[in-house]
Amino acid sequence: MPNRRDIALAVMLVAGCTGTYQASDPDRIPDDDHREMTAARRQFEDEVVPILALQCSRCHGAAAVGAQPKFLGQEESSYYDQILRYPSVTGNFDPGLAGILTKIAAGHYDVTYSAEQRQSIADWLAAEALERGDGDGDGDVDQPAAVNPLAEWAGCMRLDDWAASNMGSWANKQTEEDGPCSNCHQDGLARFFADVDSSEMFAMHRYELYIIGFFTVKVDPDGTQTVVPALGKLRRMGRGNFHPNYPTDEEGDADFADLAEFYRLTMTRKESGQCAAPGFPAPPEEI
Amino acid sequence: MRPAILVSVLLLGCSDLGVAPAASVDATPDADAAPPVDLLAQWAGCMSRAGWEAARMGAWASKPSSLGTICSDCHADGLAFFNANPSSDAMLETNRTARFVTGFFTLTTDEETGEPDIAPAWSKLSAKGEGQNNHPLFAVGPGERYFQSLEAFARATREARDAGTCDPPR
Repeated sequence: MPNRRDIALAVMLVAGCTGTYQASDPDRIPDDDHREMTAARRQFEDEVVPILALQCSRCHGAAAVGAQPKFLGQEESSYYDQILRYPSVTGNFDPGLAGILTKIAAGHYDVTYSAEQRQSIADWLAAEALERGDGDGDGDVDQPAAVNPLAEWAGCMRLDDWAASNMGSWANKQTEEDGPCSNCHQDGLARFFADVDSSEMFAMHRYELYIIGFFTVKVDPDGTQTVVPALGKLRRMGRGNFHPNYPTDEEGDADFADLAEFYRLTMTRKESGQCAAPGFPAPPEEI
Repeated sequence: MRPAILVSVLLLGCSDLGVAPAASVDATPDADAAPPVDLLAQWAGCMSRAGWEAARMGAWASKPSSLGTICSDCHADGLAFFNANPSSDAMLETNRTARFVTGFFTLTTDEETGEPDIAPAWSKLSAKGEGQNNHPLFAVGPGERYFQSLEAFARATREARDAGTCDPPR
């Protein structure tokens, strides 16, 4: 059974570098299912699960205590489905934005990866990106369109406008139950990035991954597309739909007013032709 | 080569390939010829409010994604030409337009007759639900309730089309 042989090999490698990995669920890849798996999924199961089980599961497994993201399931067999629900962890499969790599590189509770572990994770992310993003089948990940409205908007967003409109205060926006937004969204949970560092928050909101946090697109009957604040979502979240309550513009909230001001400044810049070239920024190089 | 000869050669080539040459500009229109049918426009004319409501298609606006968001959070106003407005009426009206009818439907080929037809855009919707191009994940598949709604609405729309009870193509 090559599958289990591969797992055993991965276990030996991991054990040699960082400790001892004992598969809690060695049958997580039944032979029958293995045939149905994509290559990237197989790579994850064979090479990444042992790393996650050893390095991450104690704090990020479903049974862990605390408010940190539980991006791993209870069983190893559920790791894949669960981690896909956390774009902030996978960076939508861009190593430069993937918390699974960047958090560790920046120092994370004394957890470190070996070079081989880091490479295994990066290889898996690359495989997923290719499988999900090669729409034209040319063997490369398609680049985000530079001409779509959100890409144009990213080119118009400026840090000085962001600062002038006090957008960084969203990180400190208080919810009724769980403290400020940054408590959960500091690292981009659910594709909403609310870092206490306003400049970092701005930088992240220009990526395709996070620009939908504050904005969406309105299409008029004539096909004209206009970027608009994602007020429907932001209001709905504030009303507590599986999310802690917070005040919205309907109660005269100051943070919503800040968003309106940032939108106005950015739109003014767009309409006066003062934007940078359309396009999302290039993600940072893999760490 | 003189132009007239060149045109003749080209027309012969088209004939040999089974491609009919375009009619000359002074050709008399055939009064009996049926106009070409825009199947998507015809389909849009068959999308009825009764069928939409019976199938609970408006619920797509509230279909949850893996981010804790729902479709309307991003698509209420048509992001990426997929409209999922919280107002079911508004959502239907928009989805009946030429620009948005391909949100839920696509051209296909009838497996039995080989003729062009319309079907739910299962492939696209499934791919998006499985995370294509960084879309948030959502439940997909034949047994999924929102997919079942779409299947029911497509069935009602097809029945209306077959019965000839549709509005004019939009």
